[in-house]
Amino acid sequence: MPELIVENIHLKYGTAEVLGGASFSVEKGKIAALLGPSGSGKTTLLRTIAGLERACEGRIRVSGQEVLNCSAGLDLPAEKRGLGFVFQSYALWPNRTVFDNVAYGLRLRKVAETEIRRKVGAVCEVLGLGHLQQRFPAQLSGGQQQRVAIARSLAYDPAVLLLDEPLSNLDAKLRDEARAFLKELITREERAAVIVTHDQIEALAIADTIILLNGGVIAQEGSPEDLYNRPKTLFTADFIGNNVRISGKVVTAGDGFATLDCDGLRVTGRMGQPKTVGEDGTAVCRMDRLTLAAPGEPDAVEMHRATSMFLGEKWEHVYRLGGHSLRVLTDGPVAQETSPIRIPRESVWVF
Amino acid sequence: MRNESWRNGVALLTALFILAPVGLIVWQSFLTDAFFSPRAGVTGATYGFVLDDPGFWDALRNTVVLSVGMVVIAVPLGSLLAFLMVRTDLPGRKWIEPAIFLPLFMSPMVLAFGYIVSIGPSGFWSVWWERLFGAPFWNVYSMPMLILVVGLSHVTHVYIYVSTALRTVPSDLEEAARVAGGSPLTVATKITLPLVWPSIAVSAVLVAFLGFELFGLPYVLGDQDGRMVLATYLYKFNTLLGRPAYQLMAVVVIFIMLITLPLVMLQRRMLRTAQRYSTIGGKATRAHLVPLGRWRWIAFAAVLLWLYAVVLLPLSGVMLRSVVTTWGPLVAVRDVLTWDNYAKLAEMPLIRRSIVNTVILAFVGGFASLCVYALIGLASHRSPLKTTRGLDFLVLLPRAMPGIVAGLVVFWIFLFVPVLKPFVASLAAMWVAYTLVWLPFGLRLVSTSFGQVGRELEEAAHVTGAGALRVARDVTLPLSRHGLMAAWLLAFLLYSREYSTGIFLMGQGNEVMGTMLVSLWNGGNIDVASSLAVVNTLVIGGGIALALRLGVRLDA
Ligand SMILES: Nc1ncnc2c1ncn2[C@@H]1O[C@H](COP(=O)(O)OP(=O)(O)OP(=O)(O)O)[C@@H](O)[C@H]1O
Ligand SMILES: [Mg+2]
Repeated sequence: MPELIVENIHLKYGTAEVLGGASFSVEKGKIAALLGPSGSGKTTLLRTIAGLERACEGRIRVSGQEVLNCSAGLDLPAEKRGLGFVFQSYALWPNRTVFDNVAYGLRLRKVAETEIRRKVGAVCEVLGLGHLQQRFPAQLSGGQQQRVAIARSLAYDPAVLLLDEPLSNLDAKLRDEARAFLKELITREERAAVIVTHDQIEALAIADTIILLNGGVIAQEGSPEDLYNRPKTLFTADFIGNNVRISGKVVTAGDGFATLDCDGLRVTGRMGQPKTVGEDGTAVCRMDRLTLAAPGEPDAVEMHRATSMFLGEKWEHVYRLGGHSLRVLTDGPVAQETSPIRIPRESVWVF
Repeated sequence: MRNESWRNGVALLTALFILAPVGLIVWQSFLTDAFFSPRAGVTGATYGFVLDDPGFWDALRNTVVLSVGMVVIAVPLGSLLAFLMVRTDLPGRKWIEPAIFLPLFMSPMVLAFGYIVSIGPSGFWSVWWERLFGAPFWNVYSMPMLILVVGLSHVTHVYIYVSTALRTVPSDLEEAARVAGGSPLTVATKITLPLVWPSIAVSAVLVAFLGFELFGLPYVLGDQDGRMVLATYLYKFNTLLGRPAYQLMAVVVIFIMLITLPLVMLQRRMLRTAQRYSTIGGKATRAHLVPLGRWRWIAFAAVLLWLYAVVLLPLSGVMLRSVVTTWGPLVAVRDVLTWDNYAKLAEMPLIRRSIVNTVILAFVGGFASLCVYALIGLASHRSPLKTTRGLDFLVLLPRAMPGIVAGLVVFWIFLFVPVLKPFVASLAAMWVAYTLVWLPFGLRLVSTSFGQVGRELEEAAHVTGAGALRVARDVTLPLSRHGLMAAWLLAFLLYSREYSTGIFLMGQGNEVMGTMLVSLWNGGNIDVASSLAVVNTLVIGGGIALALRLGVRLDA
């Protein structure tokens, strides 16, 4: 049975519906990432799970115990849900030392002082904060503060850990390290974690399941590979990965594939939904899969090179046809003014 | 289940605390006699009686004239002062700034005494003037003089609003106009003035409203000619008919509040608009100061002159009067110097007690009031409930209640409730009245401090397992302690200065300096009154010094 079950959460601010029926579940030792564009309700959903916002409909179970059931009028306050929460701002109490910050949850649970000392010491050790326990939050670096925030939410052994963009305040290098560390920690400590992020690379890297939100509803849910390789909607296909969108008319359809004619640019891709000839369609192409075609290769279109840029490792070229432009990466410079560009049909989705 | 009932409980008690006095006033105004009298019957005649009294209309007219006069004097001067302080290279701004706030904490009773002993008929300055130039051209007891004095002493109120607004006006707006060829004066009137106009308007309403609350100055300075304002008219009813005419007093209170309540509501609305205006800039850029040129020293002298008129002149008067045995046209200061007046303070048990009581009330009572405000503030802090939001509106009622009225209704409540009756002339009753009078102000101070505690810091404690009270104790209160300390200090200052609230509540044993000053004035004991005024000022001055030392903002 999953540690965390979220069912059909609806939430309104005034009359504006911010969450319109979100459902998902997370198993022990697994990480779910809430991904979505800005304003899609990720933070709101996470806060609702924590009990910091009040849903108007829906159910939430933590470790098999119901904490929210709107139809039954059950809505436990945040302090009774026993979850761990890591705020984007870290929200460390500036008037308490690292030790006291981490110990707070245990103190509230009236744990004996020697036991508190042992537990806090252990958690701090795991997070590499052993020598910083007597410092105040203002005396720590951003990365250290983030680890204190995690330590504080782990100290009292919550089964479910909720993290709101925990890595967004860190610089790029630190973020990569912290990501790996976090993933390992959550798996090893066997918590169920929900992590909010707007960075799809981060979501793909860290999560066991990605829950893609769009306008307060779940657009798609699945493993990172699922979302990347089998998008079910235009939104998902477009949101995940680095894409270019081209619109046109369907000229052939069948066998799971469809071909679009976009002002002369012909693109073939998997049908994300059934299409018939003559219909309007949109193709989403993964930009990093575009290459210069070798002679005789399929899915190639002859295009005109508008400009080239040297990026250090690679060259980037902009190819044009009609009103459409594609960016193509190559290892070396290109001399020809026109070339066939390969748009592999496995990396194109038509909706 | 979410337990928010404590919030409702606190809101309910607060509402009771505010509405009970108001309800009692309304009820009393429809009775033929005091509400506790067995002969009291229901009637509407009380209103007719007051409306038929020419004295009421005189008092009303005087109050309106006074309040309009205050606006006319204080608003332009206060705005000008704010412009000089914030936008120009006026010399000595750094030390003038704290001095500007002094009038806020000067006791009106001390001010009034000060003017009488300085420029009254046989005051120090009048006598010296007469020796040099002949009879003085002014009369301290005249209406124009009263208007001038109250007008000048409320310049600070305007200054606070306008200077705050001026600081948010980005100076690049002005600079752009200067570059486009506008002279400093054109820029000030065409660019800056329109932007701070809403704040000026708010302060004008505030000053007009304060005009209706005035008691001490009109009481002392208007007394000789029997010229009354509404507050002194109300006070006179206490003795006018041989015994207190409560039903008539209630009617007067209702009339006062019918004027002040709309003003308070208007001010609240305008303040919101003004704040929306002033946040457009938001960024605090280093302002480029307008050079005053040769006007620099003239402006400087004008500011000093104002400070002299509202602080130094009255204060030096009471100080001098407190160290002489007598004073008159033929007396030389060195012949009459004495410390006896201070010795008398210590000898008279009443006065000694009033000093001790004031310090207790201001220090301990101020803290107790702060606790009350903090509890109410916590109940409405980030509260989703409508009940606590209603409080925001309800506190307008005590805000519209002049101190003397609040003192009167608390006195009535103590008479009305049997268990409270034995305490009617106690320091506790005094404390209740003070707490009621300063409730809106105190609540605003604590709410601001609580609002500055990061929301997520509190939520972090919630999810970690702390209930509402634990969060308050462990996060909200510790993190807002500086603001709370400042509020305590301000309460101390205001409580030490307060005089009108206690007038009706004063009895055997609960005298405070402010009310003592009023009754010394009534008894004509000017020597002792002056020395007590000096002691009162010293206590307040000590508080101000401490506040400045701790960096507490006096213009909160
Ligand atoms: N207190 C509020 N009152 C009204 N609307 C709100 C409030 N808080 C958030 N919203 C709205 O709810 C929606 C979801 O907000 P939320 O903060 O959950 O977005 P998010 O997905 O976390 O975005 P981001 O990536 O920018 O953090 C937004 O459209 C926002 O405007
Ligand atoms: Mg967010």
